[in-house]
Amino acid sequence: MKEEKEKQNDEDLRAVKQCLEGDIEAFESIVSRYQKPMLNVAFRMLDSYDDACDVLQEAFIAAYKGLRKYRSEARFSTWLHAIVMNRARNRLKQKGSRGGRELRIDAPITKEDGSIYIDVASKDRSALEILESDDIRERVHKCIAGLEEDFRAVIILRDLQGLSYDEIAETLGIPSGTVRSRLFRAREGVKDCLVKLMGDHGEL
Amino acid sequence: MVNCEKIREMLSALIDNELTGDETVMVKEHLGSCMECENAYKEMLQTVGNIQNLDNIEPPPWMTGKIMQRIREESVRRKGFWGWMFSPWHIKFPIEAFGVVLLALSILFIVKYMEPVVKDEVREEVELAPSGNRPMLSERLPEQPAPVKEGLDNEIVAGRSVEMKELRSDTSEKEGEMQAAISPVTEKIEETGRVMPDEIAVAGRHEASEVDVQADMPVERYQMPGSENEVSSVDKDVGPEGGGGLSAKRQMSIPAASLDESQHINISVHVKDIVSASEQIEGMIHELGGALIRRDLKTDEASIDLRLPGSRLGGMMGQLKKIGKVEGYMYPDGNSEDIVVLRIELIKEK
Repeated sequence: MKEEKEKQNDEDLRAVKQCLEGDIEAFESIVSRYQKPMLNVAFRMLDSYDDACDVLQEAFIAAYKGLRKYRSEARFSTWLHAIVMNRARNRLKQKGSRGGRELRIDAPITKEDGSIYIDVASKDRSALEILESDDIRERVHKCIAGLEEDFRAVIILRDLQGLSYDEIAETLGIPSGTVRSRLFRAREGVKDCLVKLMGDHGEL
Repeated sequence: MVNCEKIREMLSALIDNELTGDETVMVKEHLGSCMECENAYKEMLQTVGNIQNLDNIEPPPWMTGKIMQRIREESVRRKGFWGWMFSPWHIKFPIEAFGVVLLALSILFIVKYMEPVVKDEVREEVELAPSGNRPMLSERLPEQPAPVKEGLDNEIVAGRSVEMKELRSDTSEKEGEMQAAISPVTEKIEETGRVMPDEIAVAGRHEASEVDVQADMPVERYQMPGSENEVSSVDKDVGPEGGGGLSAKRQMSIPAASLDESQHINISVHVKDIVSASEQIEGMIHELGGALIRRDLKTDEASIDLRLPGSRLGGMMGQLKKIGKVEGYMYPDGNSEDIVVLRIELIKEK
């Protein structure tokens, strides 16, 4: 896992170097590689697909304009995560609430043509399993969206993006110990939320 | 007994493998002995599993294209000054290098071909001149359009020596017909009198940088075609190592503009004793406020070049007649505005 991250970072650094030498198109490889994870960060933070798409565009353009400020001591992905996270938080402040729109648990995530976005990994499952798992996912999503912004951020970066505590600390500009305690509280909050939502099911 | 609350705070980090070795051992030991904490750990594991099972949403297919389009637009917008500042070195460096070379060449051109800086050296030279010349030169000073550096005097004299060379060869070829030679020589003198200003100006421009070198070697520039002995005789008169030449020159040092009007005059004097006549003439030069340029003594003849205020030319002619029979161009007396350059050829009477 770590080797894979290092290999990917090397590719990122090559692309960054090309961009700095004037090859704009090299940035396309960065966009292609990171648009999905970064969109998910923005979406989980904002709880709005449209807002997440806007923030994603803004973040990539800001990253391109600020490429010279990037220092290779940090992973490029960490630097990009920080930009997306900052943009998403700014958007939240602009909207004056924790989220853009209230996500209905039963509202599917739809494309422009009305079809539903489904991850490739979620195919090859029985209809019942999909129904159950989708139900749980919606509840989990709602519980995360209900968390305070700081707790939401650590849970997204750790459990959805797989960043280490140190990387999260660097992304959010907080001590590693704070990451640990916030993550514990965030998970406890999600657990409590799920217990409430599951109610009669008696299980998470 | 370990605090259960403290252990539960660590359960989250235990799942992520972010505890230290000691912490991990401690928590695991506690979980083996505490059922409540063990259940809490299982619930935490399940919660984390549920969160991590969330599906990733897909970006719209147009996202990459739109981002890249906006970045291309941004890139075009950043051109201009800031675009230039952030443009890559492999484009910027050759252009900047060319600019630096062009600037260096421009400075070199200006330094090399600009007129020498005006200095007060002329005034200093005028004050060094003999008292007989001072009023004339002082009167002329305010009119001087372009004062000339000391080295330029050498150049002027050198320029004249070339002319003299021509004159000498011209006259020596026709030595037997001295009288007939007078008119072409006169013509030449008049011609050079007109031509000289331009020549001086050109010499001043092109060899201003050689001023110091010329000051150190006036003898070479005055040297006429002949033997080494002739050169050494010139040394004696004009001055060793150029120092004497400089002082002799300073006696009659004049601004370039006044030389415009100076004349070349060739005079032949038939005398009995070349050496004594030569000494007498040098005495006259000194008395009349002139300057000896060169002297070339031989057994049967001698050649003396000198400069003299035009006003003293008549006096010179009168005294020359006392020494011997004078032949040559008789310059009208009384024109005090001119500096004249004379070549007196002494010919031994037979």
